[in-house]
Amino acid sequence: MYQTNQQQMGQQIMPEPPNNMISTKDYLYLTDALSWELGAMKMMHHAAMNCADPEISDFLNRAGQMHQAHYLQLLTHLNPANAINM
Amino acid sequence: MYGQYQPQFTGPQVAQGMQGMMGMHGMQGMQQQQQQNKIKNPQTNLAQGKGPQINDRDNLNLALAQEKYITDNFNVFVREASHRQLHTDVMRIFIETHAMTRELFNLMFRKGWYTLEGEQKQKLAQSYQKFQGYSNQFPYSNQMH
Repeated sequence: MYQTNQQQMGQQIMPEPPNNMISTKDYLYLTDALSWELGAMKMMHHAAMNCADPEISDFLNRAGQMHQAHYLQLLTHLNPANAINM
Repeated sequence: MYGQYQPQFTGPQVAQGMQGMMGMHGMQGMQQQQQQNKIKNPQTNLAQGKGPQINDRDNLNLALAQEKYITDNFNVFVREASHRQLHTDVMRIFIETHAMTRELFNLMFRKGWYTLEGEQKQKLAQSYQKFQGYSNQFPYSNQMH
């Protein structure tokens, strides 16, 4: 992830990786994480529907909504329309 | 982090809740002293009963297992991320998921599904002395105590 071709290209040294590049490793973790979040939100929703105690049901739905929000936040990193990914 | 709060899948009764803790410490002879330090709320009744079907407590344990899985995986993700904004976002998601996991633990404790035991003060004091004694191994002499 820190490889540069500075010697061949005669470029300046980069203090940190470019902000507009999702590495292959970033990409693989991103797609994995989206699957974790999707599984979690569905599991929480299913559990909430099968709980008798409304306090527990509400909590599980809140957790499920958090995972859904996280899913959407992660998804922005794959969106080609997002300026940071261009 | 939650190693000491392992959910007790087996215990149908309050007293059974002790078994997991005892097993972890492996000190059966200390049962009486430990029982005096037992911290526990009254167990909430389960509408679904304690049969083979999934009850509310099972659902919370499954949710806890799910959150543990996610935080374990996000710990690796946040460490490996190279993209700066991605790292920032994943770090925040990681922290928020841990906060939710803590709330889940608090809820389960409130419902009476976790038993904690206070360690003997004497043992804490002994270890305090022991580790304070190691200060002669400190490489930085100006920070002794």
